Amino acid sequence: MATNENGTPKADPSVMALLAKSKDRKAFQSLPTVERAKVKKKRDRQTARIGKRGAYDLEPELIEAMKKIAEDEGTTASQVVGIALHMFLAKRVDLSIYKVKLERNPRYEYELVWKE
Amino acid sequence: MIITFENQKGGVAKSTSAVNMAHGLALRGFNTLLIDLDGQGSISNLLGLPAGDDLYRWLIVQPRQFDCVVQYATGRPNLSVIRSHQMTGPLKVALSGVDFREQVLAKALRGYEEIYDYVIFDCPPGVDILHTAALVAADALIIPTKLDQLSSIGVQEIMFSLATIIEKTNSNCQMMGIIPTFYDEVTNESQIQLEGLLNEYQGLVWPVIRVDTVCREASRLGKTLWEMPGQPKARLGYAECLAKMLRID
Repeated sequence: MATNENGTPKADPSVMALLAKSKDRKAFQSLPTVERAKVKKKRDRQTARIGKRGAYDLEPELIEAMKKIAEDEGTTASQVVGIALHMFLAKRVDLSIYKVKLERNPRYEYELVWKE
Repeated sequence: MIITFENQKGGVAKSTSAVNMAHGLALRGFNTLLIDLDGQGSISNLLGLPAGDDLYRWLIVQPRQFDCVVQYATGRPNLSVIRSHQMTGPLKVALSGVDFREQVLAKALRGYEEIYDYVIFDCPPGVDILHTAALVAADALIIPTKLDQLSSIGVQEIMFSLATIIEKTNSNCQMMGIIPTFYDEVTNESQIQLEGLLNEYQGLVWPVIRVDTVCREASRLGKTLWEMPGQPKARLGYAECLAKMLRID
């Protein structure tokens, strides 16, 4: 069991989370109406993003390139990546030409290597 | 392991907690014996069983040997119960003439490990000989407490009782956890009391059991929360408490 410096058991994370949530709710209720609407809008935006986020390991150059295009086009990097992926899916790219057999990977059979 | 559920304050969900934790252990494959030390016989009601004087027969009528135990099959795999009812009153009178009566449960449970993984005591509110005997026999104490001021005082009192019993007897009972019950997220009082418990007892405070009408329905139907349909809020709390208990054990 996780303990504090004095050897007492650390507070249960679920209890701490519950209290934090309750404090947030109280703070929200004490806000003026305008502020409350702003917080609600922000919270709704965050809720709407659930299920729309994914994390992938990419080469830093690719990430920079996406950022650059997004800046030039006056949009977000997420939008650029979204369009790029739609194009990829629409063209039904043959991945076999990029496949390189992996020798000792217990999980994956191939690595995809980009060829100019 | 012997675990006792106690709080000197009544109506804090001691029996509900003892029954649901015991049945939770049984469902996880642990052979569990639930012993009702409360003359109200709540355990029989909560499990939908007929009333019985198993406790009286076990401690007074039959020899105090565990192989003669009069446990009652609950119809639930791995779960047996020693029921209690109004004969618990005469039992306390009978015990008043017995030497070393605070040892009565510890002696009666000698060798329980050969049959059971867990023995759970459901204690009555207040302080009496069975309450003391349970603290002497138990390895661990769990205190269910309603999130109100009087119940929180009950927690302090039972902690004091435990310290006294450890000092005066050979009890090895350790404080295991406090289960905050009847948690109602929309009331300030629940938050204030929970914060108070957390400040006082820190890691001993276990996940909360939310106030849940399903508990009342379950007791009317003689079922445990694990047998109720859907995902009752209170059951989620007991599942978290059970996981915590098994981690500590």
